[in-house]
Amino acid sequence: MSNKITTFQLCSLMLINDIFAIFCLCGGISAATAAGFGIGSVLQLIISVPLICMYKKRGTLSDCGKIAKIILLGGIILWGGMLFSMLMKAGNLVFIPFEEVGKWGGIITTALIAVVCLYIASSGIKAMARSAVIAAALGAVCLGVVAVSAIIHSDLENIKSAESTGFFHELSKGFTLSGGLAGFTVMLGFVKDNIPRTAIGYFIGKAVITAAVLISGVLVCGGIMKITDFPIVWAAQLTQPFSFQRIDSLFLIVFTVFAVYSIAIQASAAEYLVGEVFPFIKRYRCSIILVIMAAAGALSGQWIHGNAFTVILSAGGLIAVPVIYFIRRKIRL
Amino acid sequence: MKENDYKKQRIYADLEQNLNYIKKITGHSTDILVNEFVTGGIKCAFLCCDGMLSSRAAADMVLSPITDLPKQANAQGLFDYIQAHMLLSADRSKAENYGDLMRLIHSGFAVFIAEGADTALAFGVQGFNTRGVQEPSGEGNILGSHEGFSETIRTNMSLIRRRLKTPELVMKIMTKGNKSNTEICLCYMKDRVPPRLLDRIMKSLDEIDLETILSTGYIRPFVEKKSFELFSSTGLSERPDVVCSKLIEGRAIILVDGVPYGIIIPRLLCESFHTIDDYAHKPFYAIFLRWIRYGAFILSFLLPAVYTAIAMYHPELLNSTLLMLLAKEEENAPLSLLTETFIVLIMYEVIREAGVRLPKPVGGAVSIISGLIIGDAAVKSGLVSTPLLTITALSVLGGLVVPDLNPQITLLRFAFLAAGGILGFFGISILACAVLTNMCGTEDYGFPFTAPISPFSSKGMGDTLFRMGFRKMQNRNFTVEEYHE
Repeated sequence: MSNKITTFQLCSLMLINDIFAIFCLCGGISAATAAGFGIGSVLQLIISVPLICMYKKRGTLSDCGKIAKIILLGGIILWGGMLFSMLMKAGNLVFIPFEEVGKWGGIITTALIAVVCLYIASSGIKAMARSAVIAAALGAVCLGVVAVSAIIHSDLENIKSAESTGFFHELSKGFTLSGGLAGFTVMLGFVKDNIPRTAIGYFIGKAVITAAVLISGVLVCGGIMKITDFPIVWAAQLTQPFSFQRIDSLFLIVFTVFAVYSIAIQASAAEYLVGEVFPFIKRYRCSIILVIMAAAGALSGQWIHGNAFTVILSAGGLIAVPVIYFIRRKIRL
Repeated sequence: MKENDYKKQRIYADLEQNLNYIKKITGHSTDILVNEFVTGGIKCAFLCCDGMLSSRAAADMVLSPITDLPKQANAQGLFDYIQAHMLLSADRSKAENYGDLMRLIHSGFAVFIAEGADTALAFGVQGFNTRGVQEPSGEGNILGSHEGFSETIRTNMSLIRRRLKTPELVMKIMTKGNKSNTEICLCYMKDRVPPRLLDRIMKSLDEIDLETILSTGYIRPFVEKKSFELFSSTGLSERPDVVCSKLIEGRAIILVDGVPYGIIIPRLLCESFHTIDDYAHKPFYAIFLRWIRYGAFILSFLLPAVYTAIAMYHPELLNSTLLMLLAKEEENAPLSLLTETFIVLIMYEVIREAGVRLPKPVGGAVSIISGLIIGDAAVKSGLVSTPLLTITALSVLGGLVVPDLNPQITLLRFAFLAAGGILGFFGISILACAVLTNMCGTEDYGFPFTAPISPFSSKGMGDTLFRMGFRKMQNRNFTVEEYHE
């Protein structure tokens, strides 16, 4: 792995992916959702400990056998498909010109995003990671404006009025948006800095930022949560920091940029795994993966348990990789 | 005779054969002057290229003393006497083959050959006409030096040396171009430049097998990455003071004879926003100017696209007064906003190109006429709306603030306009992702073009987003190696 990235770059890549998933979060959210996501992040950190140990001992994915890598690849492709699917659903709320054309509009939008993702993923992990930092900074500024505006215009009653569906349900919701764990498993291997510090930093960052975004959403949309499909997108649209001018179209920029990077990260990670698992595929790896992801996205719309299955595969891969590594190591010793 | 056969051919000892061979190589070219004479009792010839050497210097410094030598036993004795007892020129050379001999003649050396000698002595008495040191045409400044590079490589080397009087500054001249035999000079500070960078530049230069080198553009592709990079990872400067500051930071500079620019390796994006005046002003004012440039850069390629996208797809972003104003202005325009913007931008590019290529007096007239046509007639006739013209003018002006990036800005302006006009903010966003990735992927010799922003270096911010004072800067000891990945 000559393409090494820094802690900061990995965190930016993965947080973009997580925040985009939160943008596309369907159904009601409450303060309990934020807590669920936070605790979910801590639990994810705990199950990542073996993986962190593996990378700390200079283990690589190449030492883990094909099965673990195939599980990871499945998780990544399914999560990529989910991202495409979420983008299409949430894309109806944020204005994309071609969306008005109907089915073909959706296909054109997907194709355009796939083409840009293909370019980003094929530019190499370093270029993607460096640009993701700038994209994340841009997103942070925009989200900061939305959050500040949400606090200014907030009504604390909204927190009370947003109904929770129970803590364990919220916790599971937090987990169902963790398809990025498979990508994290791959990307962590590219980090040149201190691996444990990177992983801890990422999960803590994830817990804090997702909680902040969700709370902002609850503060704005708490009262109308029952009629909102996508609470975060709605919150961004309802939040107007300036009394004389609307700025919610700017949210479309952050939404699109995060969508592109989220899918590109999955494509890049999957491309690496395809190279490991199917070394005979030398060309068009990324294109093939993106086509499969888009197809998976189209199918996942009809698959109710798609999200859960994706998370099972991703988390399974995250656990399987270090387990297989340590078993093989023990046998060799 | 094949094209380059003569280059490795050793010089004939027989003078007549020697001269016949030189005439054969040069095809009896009129500007190669051959003067035969006898000195020290030995038949000799004096060779030079007409117009390339100073006749007065050649006569006073070489011809006059050399024609009055004591008798010598043979040619070798004559050459040894000249070498040991006469300092005819500070720049002396010796040729053993016809390749070197022709190169020296064509470079303005006075070449001396003798009957029985299989070598030639050459004395530097160059005196061709050159443009003197003048004010740089493209990198203007207010408080700094007003000297710029000229077309003569030796003059440019002296301009650098005058500013860095230290033995650490190394200048290595080499010749490239099979036909042009152009001198290029690699300059670096031996205590600052990363050795790996130097090795890799030398390897890149060894790959050059061009026939001619007529501008820096012939060399730059060899010292840049092969893959498609929108932005160039090597820079150009026609200012010796800028080049010296880069040398101090551990960069390498390539000077090319006949070109008044130095190639800076590596160049970073943030440097396009720096000027030498930044270091002459107070830091707070320099920071203000720097931020103006950053803003102007973003406006230069995004403004027309954002304007079109807002007007066509996201009018809610405008407040009601502005929206009404724009709607009223665009009401009578016969073309769609996207077409109108394209036409105005293309008109500007045509005018700019005409202004640059035409002779100066005509160029000025073109600017006045086009200004009147666009500024007055087009608006009055209703072909172009006033807000659009204002937006375009602002965007174009913004591009002129960062002249280094003008080619990229021009293309990006059109690309973003197309994306914004067809797909609104969605289009601008996806194109921005691609451009950003390309920019961040630009890297040569391990130096990321976007450093110190991404990869982030807090130390580098002191002279990127801000401009720290010299009291702090003197302890910083910055070299570009800090950004190496």
